[in-house]
Amino acid sequence: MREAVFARYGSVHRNTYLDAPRSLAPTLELVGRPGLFVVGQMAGVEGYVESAALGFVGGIGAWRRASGAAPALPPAETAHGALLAHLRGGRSGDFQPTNVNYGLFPPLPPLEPGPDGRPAGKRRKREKNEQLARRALAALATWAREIGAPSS
Amino acid sequence: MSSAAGSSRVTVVGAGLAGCEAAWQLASRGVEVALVEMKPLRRSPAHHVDDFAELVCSNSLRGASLGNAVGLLKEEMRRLGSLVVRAADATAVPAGRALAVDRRAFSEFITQAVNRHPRIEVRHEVVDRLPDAPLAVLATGPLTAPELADALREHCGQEHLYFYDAIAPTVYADSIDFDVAFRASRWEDAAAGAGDYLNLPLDRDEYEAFVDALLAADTVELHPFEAALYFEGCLPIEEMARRGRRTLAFGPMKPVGLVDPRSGRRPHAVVQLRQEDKHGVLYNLVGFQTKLRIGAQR
Repeated sequence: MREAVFARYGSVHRNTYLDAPRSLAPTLELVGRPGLFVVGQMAGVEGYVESAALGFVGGIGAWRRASGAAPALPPAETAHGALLAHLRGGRSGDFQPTNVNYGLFPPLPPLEPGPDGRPAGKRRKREKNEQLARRALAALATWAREIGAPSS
Repeated sequence: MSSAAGSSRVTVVGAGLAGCEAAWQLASRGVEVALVEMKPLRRSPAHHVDDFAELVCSNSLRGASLGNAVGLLKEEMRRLGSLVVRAADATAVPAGRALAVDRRAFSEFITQAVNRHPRIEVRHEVVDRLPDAPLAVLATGPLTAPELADALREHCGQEHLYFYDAIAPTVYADSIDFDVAFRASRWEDAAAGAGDYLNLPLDRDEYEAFVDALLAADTVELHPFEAALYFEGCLPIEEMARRGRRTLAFGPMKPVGLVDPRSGRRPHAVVQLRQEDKHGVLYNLVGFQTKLRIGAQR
């Protein structure tokens, strides 16, 4: 592991948070209490931006409920969607909060073989992240329209 | 799209970053919001001012570029009309490739926006149980008041509310040397599949060098409210090393039950990695929570 590349460093903090995979619905509602949304670090994310992002998702969720509309969750390809996927798919019983990182995103489709038929190599990390970002922002536009976001 | 919210009202508990954002998004769509905040009646040990959205640790919202997932997240929020990101952009200070803010100006921006919104009513109260309101958002943060935390624990079950996180470092799978790593689970992890853990063997010299490095490394200072909070289930690795040079070799780095296929023998110690995500991109170092500074972790 001499050349290992860290996606996330270790830490220990005083932090109150739920076992999201077990206790939260995909909408961020508390299991057994529909209409009660849990957001921010309590839901199992780490970081200022991540907390605010979940606040956004929870606010939209509560608005949808208030309007009698079906939930409108962020697409899986977006960074918002990747955070929610961590809350659903993390290890219950040993669930740890996370910052957003590109490792949480669904993988890109594999590269096509070259014109000579030789298998493609792997993408370099920077290229991969750029593509993940482009894909995310394209998916975001659809969601933004659906929820009446100002820039849509 | 019409809000059609009628007389539905949403209670948002906590006027931190998440709560202010939730309140704002609701109010912007025509929903009446009661934003309940316990400051100034009571403050958590980490809070020092009465403004909303107080940044209790650093003033940085981290990377700004799209090459960084948090930069992407902020850009998404920008395009979605996030109040928090708008506030950050308006109060930014130079910080290289990060978005950092003037802490006071940032909190004031958000506090004013929330206070001025005609559909947001701010109430100063301590919420000590789960809200009865049919629609509510709990945004009470890492230092949620004990009574409310207890109410949550009662609802979810003792085992499903945590008070400490223990974040192990994670590494990218494609940066691991698979000529050296081998797959195996320890005897007592019988429920785990044989290949659930990747093991990186260390010989005696490598282990001793690792302990030396740990003992010499810089750690992050604890906030005063975190002092003396270690409990036996969750010791940082450098604290384990401080308690004895061999503690790690009997703890998260124990080689018992594992055989290195290259040598046919049990290694002196191992670093165990466990797959973190379902795609196998990330592995975390099992039991390696730490307060080492990031430079030292490298």
